[in-house]
Amino acid sequence: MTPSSSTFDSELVSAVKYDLPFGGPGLLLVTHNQNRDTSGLRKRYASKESGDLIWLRRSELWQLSVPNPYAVHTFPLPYWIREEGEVTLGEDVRSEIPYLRFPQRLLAAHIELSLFWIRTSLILSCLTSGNHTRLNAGLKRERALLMQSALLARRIWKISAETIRGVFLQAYPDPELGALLAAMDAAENPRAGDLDRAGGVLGQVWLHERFVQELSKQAR
Amino acid sequence: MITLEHYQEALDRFKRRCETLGERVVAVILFGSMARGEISPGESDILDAIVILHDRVFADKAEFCQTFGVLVEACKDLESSGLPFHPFLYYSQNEFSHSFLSYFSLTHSKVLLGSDVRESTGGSDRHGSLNQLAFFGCRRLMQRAARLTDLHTTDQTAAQSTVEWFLKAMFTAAAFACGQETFYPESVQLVRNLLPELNLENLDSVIAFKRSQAPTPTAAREALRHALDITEDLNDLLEKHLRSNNRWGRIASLWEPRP
Repeated sequence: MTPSSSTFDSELVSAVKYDLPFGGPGLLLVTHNQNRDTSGLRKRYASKESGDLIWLRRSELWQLSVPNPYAVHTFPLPYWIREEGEVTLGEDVRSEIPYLRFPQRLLAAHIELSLFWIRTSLILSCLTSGNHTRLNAGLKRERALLMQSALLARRIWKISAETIRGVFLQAYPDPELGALLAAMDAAENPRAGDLDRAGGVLGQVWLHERFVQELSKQAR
Repeated sequence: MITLEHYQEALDRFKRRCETLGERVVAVILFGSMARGEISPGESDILDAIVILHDRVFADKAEFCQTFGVLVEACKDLESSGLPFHPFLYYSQNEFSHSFLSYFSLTHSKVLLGSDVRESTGGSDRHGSLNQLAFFGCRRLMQRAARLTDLHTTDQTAAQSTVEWFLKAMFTAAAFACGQETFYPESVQLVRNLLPELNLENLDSVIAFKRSQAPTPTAAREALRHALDITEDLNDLLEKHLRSNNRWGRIASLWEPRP
């Protein structure tokens, strides 16, 4: 069931649709502070079309600004809901969502998480299994997400998968970062057969590692 | 039958591989059940280790590729051991000294190879307050899993992964919120002690579902529902806990002031 202004749900204060550039659509349900049981709401509003479902009491809206360490792609969630979210039911509570005072912490946190998760669950895992296609796709996505967090550190959130590289290079005109991105682009479009060579794959991983190290200088 | 000897053989082989890297490896630190001597044969996974590499390995492409060729072979050795496997962690020395890993590498660990760099790490408190709040970010991921509880047919594998994640991540994050850095399974007992009013009467059935060899869709839905209920209870108690411990002021300062 998709909420619309023609429906009314006494448990709800507000319903806001949102869309994340690297996470797809979602629906935020805001309930009254005294609300205890959300199972009915969940059943009524969960649908494939509405994407991820988040429910919070009105007094818990601050939680939207707490980064989820297991979903770095959702770091810009408060910006997309507050600035671009579409209120489909009830009150407009978007201005009650706070922003982090020091968004630079998001980049530093993302880099630490990347060193922990990407290296084990993507890099070593794919190199061990020989799944170079998954490795390439995963590294490409992780780089985009790192750029997203780096831009958030400068309070720039309105990007898309298509624009992020250009916006990032404008915000971070560091020649080393630019050269590494160019080298990674070239490595992702190798001549036929190059990808099968282990050196080629490890070379790509090295470029990614160098990119992360250069970016971490910006997080300090 | 998997025995302790299988774990020791795999560890010895891993160590020999790392030794071939010479000075490129600053240290190899073992943590988790192997470091604590609490291996449960067939259940404990291999390998909770941190390979700390010399900074120069990351600076030079040829050196990096050579080193990683060896590390990948070490992973393949571990995988072929037939033991539950996941890759080990690796860091440059500089990264390790700033890593949030420093805490548990110091408390539940032992040096397998190289120098003892654990004492030189100060740990990172850069995200201290954010780490304390990670539970509330993780709560959203559990909410995402709620959809599975309403399905008529539930993917049992997805449900078991979700439940495993719930046990490991949510209780660890809850312990962090209480100002205690500890990891699963210790985190469950710790949270139980710190929040005695938390209703955990269904926790055993969640754990049993995680271990179940042939779970049914009904059991999957029930375990997910219990996990979700516990998460929501934890949410309420943790916020109350944070607000009542004079820590809310510091937490509130994380946000921009309201206009």
